[in-house]
Formats: sequence, C-alpha cells, structure tokens
Amino acid sequence: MTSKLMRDEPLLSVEGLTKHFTTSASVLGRKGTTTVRAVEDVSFEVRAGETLGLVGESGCGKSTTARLIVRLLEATAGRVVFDGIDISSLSRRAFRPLRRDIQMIFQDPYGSLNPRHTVGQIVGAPFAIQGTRGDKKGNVGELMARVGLNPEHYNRYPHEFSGGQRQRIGVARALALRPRLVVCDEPVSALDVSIQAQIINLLSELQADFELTYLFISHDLSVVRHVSDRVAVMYLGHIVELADAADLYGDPHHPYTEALLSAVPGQAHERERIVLRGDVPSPTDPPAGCPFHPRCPRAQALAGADGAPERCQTERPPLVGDGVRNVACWYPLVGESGQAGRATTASR
Amino acid sequence: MPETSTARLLEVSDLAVHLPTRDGVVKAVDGISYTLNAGETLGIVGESGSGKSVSCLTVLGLINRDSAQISGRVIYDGSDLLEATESELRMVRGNEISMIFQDPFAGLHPLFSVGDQLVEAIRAHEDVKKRVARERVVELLHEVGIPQAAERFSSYPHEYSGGMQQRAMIAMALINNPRILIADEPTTALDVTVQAQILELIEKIKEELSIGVILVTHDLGVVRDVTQNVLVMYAGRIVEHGSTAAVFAEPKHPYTWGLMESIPLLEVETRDLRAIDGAPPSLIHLPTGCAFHPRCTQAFEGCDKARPELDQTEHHQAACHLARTDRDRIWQERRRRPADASR
Repeated sequence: MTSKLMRDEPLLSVEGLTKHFTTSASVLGRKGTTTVRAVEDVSFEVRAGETLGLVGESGCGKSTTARLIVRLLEATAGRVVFDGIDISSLSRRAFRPLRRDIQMIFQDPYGSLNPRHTVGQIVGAPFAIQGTRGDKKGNVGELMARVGLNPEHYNRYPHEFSGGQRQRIGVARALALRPRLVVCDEPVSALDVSIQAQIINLLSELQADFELTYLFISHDLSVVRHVSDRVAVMYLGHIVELADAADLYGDPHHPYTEALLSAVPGQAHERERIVLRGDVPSPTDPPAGCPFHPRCPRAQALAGADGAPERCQTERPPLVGDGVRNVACWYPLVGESGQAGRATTASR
Repeated sequence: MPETSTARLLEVSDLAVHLPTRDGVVKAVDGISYTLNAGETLGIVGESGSGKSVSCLTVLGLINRDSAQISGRVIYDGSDLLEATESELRMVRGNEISMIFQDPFAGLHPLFSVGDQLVEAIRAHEDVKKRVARERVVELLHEVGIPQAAERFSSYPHEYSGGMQQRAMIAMALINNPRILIADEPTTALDVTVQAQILELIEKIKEELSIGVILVTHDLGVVRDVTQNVLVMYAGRIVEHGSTAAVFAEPKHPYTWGLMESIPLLEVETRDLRAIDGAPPSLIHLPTGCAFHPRCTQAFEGCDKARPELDQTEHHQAACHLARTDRDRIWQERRRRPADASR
C-alpha cells in the first residue's frame, strides 16, 4: 500500500533507539536488579507515504519500539526524529501539539476502547482534547461513515459492536485529527481471518485517501508482506534485516529471516523448512556477539571445533548495506554462499 | 468421506449441541458427521463461534450434559460416548482420547513441578511406583523434545517457555498411549518458528504411534501443511468436507472461497484481498436457509429458504444450493482474476 505521494525523504527517523527495563531481581526485595534489554540500538527511517513493516516473534521488541515512537514509553537512549524535529527530547508539553500528527492503532479492539463511552465520545475525544473547533458531531459522523460504521450508531457502546467493527472505531479515533504517521501495532491479529481482510483493505484505502504513512507491526509475515513497501525484521531487540518487501521475502540475506519465512505454514511452493532448535534467549541475558548465533543454522554450518565462528560469538554484527538492502550478519546468505547454511539444516 | 480400509477410530454422526441461555438457545453445533481413522490427521477449520471447539469438547464429554441439549452419536470402540457414564468417560479421557489446548500454561498447575504433575497423571490411571512413573516421565519429556529432561523434571511451569509448556502438555496427553489426540489450536499462542517445532512433533507422534489426530485451527496454512482431510465449519455446520488436497485445489463452497481469498499469501506479492462482507451470524438467531447466505456473493433466490445439506454422493462434499457445475465454473473464474477488486 503506497500512497501517490511517496517520497524519498524520511518522515520518521529512528537513530540508535534503546530501551532497557530495570526490574528488581527478587520478589523478596533482595539486592540486585535485572535489566531487560527490550530494544537495542535500533535505527531505521520511514519515508513519507510508505508502509514500513516491522516483523518479529514475541519479545523481539517490536511493540516496545512502537511505544517509544509515540512516546508511550521514554527511551533509554537514542533519538526519534519526526519531520525534522527530535521528539524524544521534547518536554511533554512541547510534544503535545505534535501528537496529532502521530497516532496509534492497537491490537486489542476490546481493551483499547473505554466500555463506558459511546462511539461518539470515543471518536470525538481527540477533537475535544486538542481543542479543535467546529461541528464535532458532524465530523465524527463523517469519520464513522468513512471507516464503514453507520453514523446512526453514534450513541452506541463498544460492546454493541463486533470485533471488526470495534477495530474500525479504533481506526476512526486514530484518524480523527488527520495524522501524518499512524503506528499500527498488530491491528488485525485479534480478528477472524474474514474480518482481517476487511480491516487491511480499509487501512489501504485510507492510506491513499489521507496520504498516510504507516509503521505496521505484526508477527504475521504474510500480512506484513501484503501491506508493506519495506520490511524490517527484529530479533531480540535488534533489527537483523531491512529491505524492500519483495527482495526480503524473495531472497532473504539473514539466516533468521530465512528460517522465519520457511516456518510460515501453508506455502504452495514449499521452501525447504528450517526448523530452528531451541527457544529465543531471554532478553535479560542476551548472548554475546550476534544475538542469533546460538540458534543460527548458518553459524552451525560454518562451525569449527570451538562451535560457531568466533566473530559470531564475540562481536555483534552491525546493520550494514547500501540503504536498500541491509543485513546484520557476519556471513550473510548472498548468492551461492547461502546454500551452505541451507544444505545442513533439517528439512521436513 | 473417503472410505479407507484402515481402522476407523471415531465416528461422529449428526452431533448437535444446543446451549440454552437467557437470550435463547445457542446452536453451537447443529448436526455434524465425520469419521477419523488411525494414522489420519483431520483438520477442523473455522472462525470463532463456528462450533469447532465445542464439537471436540463434546466428544470428550467435557460439555456439561445438564446444561446443554446434546444429540447424535459419537461412536468410539463400538460404544456411544454420549451415552457413557462419567466414570466410563474418565477412563476414555487420557487413556483413549487426549486433548491439548491453545494455552498450555492454563493446563498446568503453577504450584507443582511439571514432572510431578506428569507422575500424578500416570498414577491416576495406573498403579505404579513413583520411581517407575518418574523414569517414564523423564523419558517422555525427552521424547517430546525437552532438553535436559532429567533436570527439567523439577522445573515449574513458569520456568518453561511457551513452546516447552506445549511440549509438556503433549507429553501429558501421550502418557497413557491414547489412540486419538485432539489438538485445539495447539500453536495459536506460539511464535511461528516454535509453531513449526510443535507441528513437527505432533506429526512425528502421529506417525510413530499410528494414532488419529483431530487438529482444530483457524489457520488454513496449518491445515494445508499437516492434515489429510479437512472439515470447514460455519455457524455450527459443516459447509465443506474433503481431502485437504482436493479442498485446497478445488474448494467447492463460497465460504471456503472467501476464506482462501481473504488471507494474504506469502508467495504472492500484490493481490487485493477479497474480504467476506459482514460478520458471522448470531448462533441464537441464525439466518434462515443457508446460514452463510447474507454474506455470500453467490446467493440467489431460495438460499434464504431451505438449508443446504452436504452432497452425500461425493467424496469431496459441500453444502450449497448452487449447482455443482456452476460452482466449479465460478471458482475457475475467480481464480483466473485474482487481482479483481470486487470488495
């Protein structure tokens, strides 16, 4: 989904974004704390008019990244630059006028709507908070119609709507102030498949109509591919690969991306399935070196007597590339070298 | 369904589960029939409220008979499970038919170690010494792919990752060598790479133990990968039933078409998704005639009158009023113009 006005300059630029959560190590309050390294030195740009997909498994830091961008969380380090302004260093007061430009759609259409407010109140709240004048009821009704809700349902409560309709309410609320960037955090994950498509199509139409830029976060690789112009893959707080959607899906360069794609069930032309062994390590105690190396089929294929190549074990690979294709791997799957990693992996 | 000579494990006929509520009777399952053979994985696919889970719970006798009106027959091993007493059912559950659920953590007691819970499960069905049971559990944990099974025996559920919890639940389900495993959305709560591991494990178990597996899911991709036969359910009824290969190659019900056209595919770069309009109906006030007709793009006069039955003459069955030849033609046309923006 690309709007007509897609340009190359970034609307949003994230530089070295880092978020550590510190928790007390013991419920008994003994000394010592643990640090959850949710997001580590993440940098990317979102161009005006495009959809950047952010994909990864649970705990990879994708939702934390979303919350840092809209400042529902404060970053430990790094900068978030929106339209040339560093919004991460602004005071809350100074940030408020910019909030209307950056909106968010949440996963859970049940939990993110106040059950005691009518749809009219929910969708109208942004107007009231931002002090927008004019015909509130008219504006809300227009918005409701645009997202496929019946404006006559202005006085109904969220529980009177189905899941898909509730997500439409969430979309209407996000669009009320005509934002420029919408951060969509798993917007269709809680919905049945037949309803998912309705919401995806709606988001796509709205992007064209309102010239929106999307940061689209999901664990569903097929959905991300469908909506995104470019895709970033996260693993354990890091971006491991960032490329145009077609390139990334057609020819993944990072072994994790390759494994992730091969795990998607129901593919007609079966890729060789790479079943990763073990679980994602805990972000409180991430592996040294490349965060993926303990599970990496490619590192195992290249392993010597000391296990994975030393570089994988000791040095974190930076995200490098020509700006179009970027990968964070010491031994990326490029050309024939990719086969080495594939040949030894378990296939179904 | 395709008749095979292999051992028939389960035969469900005309099963209906109606749940009276204050607002009216919820027709959660409304007359479904299917069979399951040894060595077969049968997929039951549908959206929330289609009746796929309730039908499985009923097979296991987990729907309270006092509060539900249950009719039909569930024949296992020559007897009707719907007629069985609670103590007979208890012997069937776990020993003969096991079930795993979407949320493995909810199935494990948080205050006992995983190993102790499995020992308890063995000793509930069998009179063996604790030490013997313990050895079996460690072996079983190892078999389902839990690393360092002996040490992991004493870990508590919260110390297991989601994937390992589901492995532990599978171990628990396998303890007494069941002949049927019912898996209700076993991988929905798991990440895609872990999902691949668990599906691989279920497949391996099915092959090695030659059991029958019923896999309930909303994910067509999972169905395509691991099942041999599939039931598509909508509003408590089976709308399509056939071999997985046939259903994916030539789906015969407009609802199945809609499901397939509304999921984005990994291989296809740009394709407009054809959403199914509207929402699933209330199970209290079902539409007259075919329950899908208000959302169906092909509905014609009469669809709102008589309820279509599965065309019993065929192996690959669908419940639709459209003539079979018309449906084949329409599907071919729809498939030829995948980028049609008919939404």
